[in-house]
Amino acid sequence: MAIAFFLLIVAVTIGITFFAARRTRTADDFYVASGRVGGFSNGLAIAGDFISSVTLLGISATILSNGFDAVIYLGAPLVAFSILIFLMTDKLKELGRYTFTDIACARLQERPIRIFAAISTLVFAMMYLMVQVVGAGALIQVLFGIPYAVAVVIVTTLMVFYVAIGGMLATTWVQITKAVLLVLGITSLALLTLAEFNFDFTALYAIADANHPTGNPVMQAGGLDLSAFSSLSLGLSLCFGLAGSPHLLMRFFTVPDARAARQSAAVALGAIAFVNMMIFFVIGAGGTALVHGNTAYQNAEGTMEGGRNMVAMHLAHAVGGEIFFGIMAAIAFATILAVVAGLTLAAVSALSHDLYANAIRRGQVTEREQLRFSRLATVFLGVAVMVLGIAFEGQNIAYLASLVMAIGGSTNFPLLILSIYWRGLTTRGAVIGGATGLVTAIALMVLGPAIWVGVFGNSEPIVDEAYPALFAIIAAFGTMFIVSMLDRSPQAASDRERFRVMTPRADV
Amino acid sequence: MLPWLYSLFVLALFLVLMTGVPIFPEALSKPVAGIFNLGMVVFALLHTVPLALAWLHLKQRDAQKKD
Repeated sequence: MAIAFFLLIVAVTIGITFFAARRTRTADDFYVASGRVGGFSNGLAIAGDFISSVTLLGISATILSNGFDAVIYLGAPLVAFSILIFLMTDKLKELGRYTFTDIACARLQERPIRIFAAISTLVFAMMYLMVQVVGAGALIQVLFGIPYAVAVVIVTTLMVFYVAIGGMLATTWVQITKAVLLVLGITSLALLTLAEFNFDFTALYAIADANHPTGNPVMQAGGLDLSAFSSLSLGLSLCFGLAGSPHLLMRFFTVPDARAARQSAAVALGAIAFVNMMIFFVIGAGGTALVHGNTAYQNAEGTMEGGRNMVAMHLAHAVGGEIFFGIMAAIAFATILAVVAGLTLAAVSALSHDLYANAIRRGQVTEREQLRFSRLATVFLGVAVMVLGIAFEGQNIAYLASLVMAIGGSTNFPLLILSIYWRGLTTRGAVIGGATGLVTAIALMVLGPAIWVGVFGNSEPIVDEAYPALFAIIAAFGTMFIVSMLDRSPQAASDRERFRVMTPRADV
Repeated sequence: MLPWLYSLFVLALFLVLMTGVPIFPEALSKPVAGIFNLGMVVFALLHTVPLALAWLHLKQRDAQKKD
């Protein structure tokens, strides 16, 4: 049954892509769907772009393992989208065309900023794609019984197909389809779970508390055993990383005006808040109550079949049977496709628009050449991600994803927020500060327990701190401030003078 | 200044959770009403207040545009 729904999802998304391909002729069509997407539709697409399998599967597993502390993962997007709505969307739509770099380039020197932003976007997108593909491979292996490497090939091939053939329009429709399916699926899962307890929350929580593996009530804080630094570092890196995620930022260029951009951020915020609350208040507790310790979902070793990441899927089976399990498995698969398509498009835009068309060819490029380069770049990225996905099999994806967010939080986010709000930012400060943030984030990630021990096989990490992102964020902001304040070059004077383009305009 | 105040208010709610989890988990776990403890109430506020503020913000920006 799961395979049938899986094939249905693939068929529908391929149909969407062929339909979108006929409407994708220019660079504007490819990158931003010519700004024709409505505010509400774009909001759903943003939600579809953001809500990954980490939210549906990983957070349910975190609630089962660590209880209440999953709030740090769940709360961060609310802050990130609030920052986007209240502080950034107007400027994104007003000054941006294809990538968030357009906003910084409106007042800073174009070439160095584009080169830096393209590199940071590529690193972020490649790492995040790798994380998503590793998760997808493992998930599809468990859900559909397909070998891991074959699953990775299927996901990356579909990802290349959607983006290279259908561009932003196909990606948008795949994301909207996924968002609608996900909201319906999660609502049904929550209602069916509550129905098992006659819609009595007290009964649900009584069993969940008694069944929680820590021995404490499921909603008791402190299960992750984080230090104050780790908690702040994790939370802030997720907030700033999401607010600086290139695949989310570029969605604000697909709407016709700033009002629609604000509206789309608000719709996305509503959808994300709804999904979060369903998972936190019902599905997490339901999984603990109905799946944990249930022998029907245990393997021969007595642990959960497929690992704890499968708790939400097992819950779907427990409350809705084989058919509902098949539907939820297909929705989880659609979730992965939508996220990887959005990330690929962001990486391709950085490569072709920022690096190739503007930094290398200095704008002397035809639309046809740019489109051809974009499609070639999509195939190249697909192959690279496929290789990385197979090489990183078995890594802890939820943890790696939080580390990747440190890159967005210490490069794109400071560049964007300071470009918009701080007159003193100079090109030199932005590039040196951003590079400091990027190098610090990558170094801390490589020297930490996930890669130094987990991938390289060393016995001890060089950096003990499990969530070091705050160091990179402070380094990036600090360096941008100090270098900009000390910068007395003619370019710095021009950068400060051109800050006037950031002042509010009445026509938006 | 209002957009900054809205953003800082939402960030402050999240800060209560980020600092509460490691520093005062017992306080967050205190029952408030029915199954809800203090942490769950803050979590619910974090998921509803931004929506209300976003709605207010959209209204204010629309009014500014008309002026």
